[in-house]
Amino acid sequence: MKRYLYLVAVASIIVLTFSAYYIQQTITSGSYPEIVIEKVSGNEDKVEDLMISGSYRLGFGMGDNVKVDIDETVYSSEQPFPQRFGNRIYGDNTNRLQDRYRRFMRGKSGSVRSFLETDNVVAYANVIGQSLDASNQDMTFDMAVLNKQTEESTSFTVPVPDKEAYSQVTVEDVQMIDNELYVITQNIKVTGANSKRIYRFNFNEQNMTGEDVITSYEDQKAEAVHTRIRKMGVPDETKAQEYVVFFKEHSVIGQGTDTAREITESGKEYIAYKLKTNEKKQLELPKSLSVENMLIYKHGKLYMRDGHNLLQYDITKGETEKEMQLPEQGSGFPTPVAISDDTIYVLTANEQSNISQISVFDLTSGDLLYNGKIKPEKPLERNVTLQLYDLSIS
Amino acid sequence: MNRFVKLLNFELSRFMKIYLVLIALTIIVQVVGVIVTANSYMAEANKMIYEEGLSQAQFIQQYRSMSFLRFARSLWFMGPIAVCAAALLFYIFMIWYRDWFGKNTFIYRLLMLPTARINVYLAKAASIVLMVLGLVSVQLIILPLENSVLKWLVPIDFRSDMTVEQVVGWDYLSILIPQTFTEFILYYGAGFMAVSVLFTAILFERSFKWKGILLGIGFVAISGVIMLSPLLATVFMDHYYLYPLETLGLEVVLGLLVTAVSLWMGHYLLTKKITV
Repeated sequence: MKRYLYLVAVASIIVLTFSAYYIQQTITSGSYPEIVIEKVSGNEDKVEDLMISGSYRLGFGMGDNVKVDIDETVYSSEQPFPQRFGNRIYGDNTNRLQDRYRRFMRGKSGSVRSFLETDNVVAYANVIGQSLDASNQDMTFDMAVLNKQTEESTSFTVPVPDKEAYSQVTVEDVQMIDNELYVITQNIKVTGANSKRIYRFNFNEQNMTGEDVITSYEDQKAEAVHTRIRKMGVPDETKAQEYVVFFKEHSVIGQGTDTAREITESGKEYIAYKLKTNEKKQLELPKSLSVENMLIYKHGKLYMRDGHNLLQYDITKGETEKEMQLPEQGSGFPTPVAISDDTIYVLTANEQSNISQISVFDLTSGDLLYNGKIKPEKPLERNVTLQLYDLSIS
Repeated sequence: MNRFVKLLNFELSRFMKIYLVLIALTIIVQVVGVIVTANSYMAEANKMIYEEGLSQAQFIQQYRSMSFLRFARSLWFMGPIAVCAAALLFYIFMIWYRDWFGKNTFIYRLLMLPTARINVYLAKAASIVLMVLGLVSVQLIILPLENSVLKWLVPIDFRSDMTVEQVVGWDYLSILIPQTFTEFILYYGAGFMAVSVLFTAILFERSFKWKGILLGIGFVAISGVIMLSPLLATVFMDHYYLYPLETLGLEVVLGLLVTAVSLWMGHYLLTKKITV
């Protein structure tokens, strides 16, 4: 034994230390707290399928991501490595599509906005051939459609019209109307001007049938103009929608010195674009609201937050039809929202106390179905913040 | 097997003096570092509160409370780790080259041993791996100690306490002390692959001298390209046809392939081509 002294010594220390560490790790419940959903009033069944995503930050750039539902709290570091690794890159909706249509989804890049799933097809559109080197681009639409019944897919490519003029083209939504694929994109010109456009494709003929500009800032001549056109979020980017809603805002920064620049002119618009008829409708929304107040759009209705009120605005009628009361305590933005069928879930956070409120409303009647608090079981340490940023219904 | 174990023990014993110095250095510098960091923080606090008139809450808001990470990010903590890493990296080469020094070159006796020559190779590789793990174990042992010293020196009001798991979950520490068994195999397996590639490159040099250096560098480069091939594919192709877990599986297979080739090549060089 003495002959192997060094080996035995080193090996024992390694084995003992690592086993002690890993055993201790499995015994203790982990250093992250449980987060509970506590009922304040209403029907608890309403939050059974609710999943809240958040991030637990320890300060110093450390922390973990967490998913909370009525039964358990799961931190991403507690998941086994293959699961963590596989799910990290794509979001839940893309993962779902990849699980179900493994062969079709293979090799398809782009965000969840590049996909559409209906009862009959899964459609995909992305712009490839882009690079940071603007002179080296060959922008092309990469399209594919999978027929769910026959399990056959067609794919084709179409060059982007006028591609030399653009520095970047990003797909923002894919829809299908009457067997034609409608692709909504954000196009940024080399000059910096941006626009939202719609391209139509016939996938049986495998060609492009039309292009239109939905809205743009292409006429801006002044250099000191900041423009932003944003598409409003929807509960599931892979589902069909009737309208696509955009905000558009610009501000002109006056000449002045560097420290004394002021905004001399600004404006904002809300545009609802109806895909089937290629119609644009200006929405008259309360002037006090800005982009951050817009929460979500679904099936012809826009949901906005005005202070402690949740407003439901009907696009076809052009008016606010309902007002729902949110809790007094929640103040800040963002306000995560989820919609399923006829219910809307709203999370309002109180940053000071790390406690959030969840309110569930019935969309037909506007009644409050459930009200609850989401908070860590034990008070959090100083320097620790818990931010809940996403709601989803499973 | 017996010979392998004896050789392994022998390799460990040869380096043991320096190894113990490295361990002592780490412990001493880190413990001193904890004390210095904690005391300088408290000195700053005392100055701000008693001389400049800040309240306790104001001080904590401006200067942030003391946490273990403040120490872990400092040179006191990272310095010894860097020194140990550099020393072991250097020894990956020296573990071979020291056998060629002097008049009665030791390698001659090593190669004349009545044992498969691959055992010499494997003993050296295994000793490097064990030494890395040993240093990591030492760090794992002194971490709770350092945490306790910090808690002892800084009053509770000024502290944000962290558990050892939280500290270990940070940055490069989470690679050295992986959270799951799968990651342990992946990271240390990759480390063993790197060591074997370097060993084979060294043996190229020892077998063919100047030509050998070129062959060695070429071998390392080819291994690198093979391991990076999935990444290179994404740069050159429009579509990348593998899902993340499949890419991981592919990398594991490529890694095993590179390791096997390195070991086989090393064995071939040791038995047929080496010059003493």
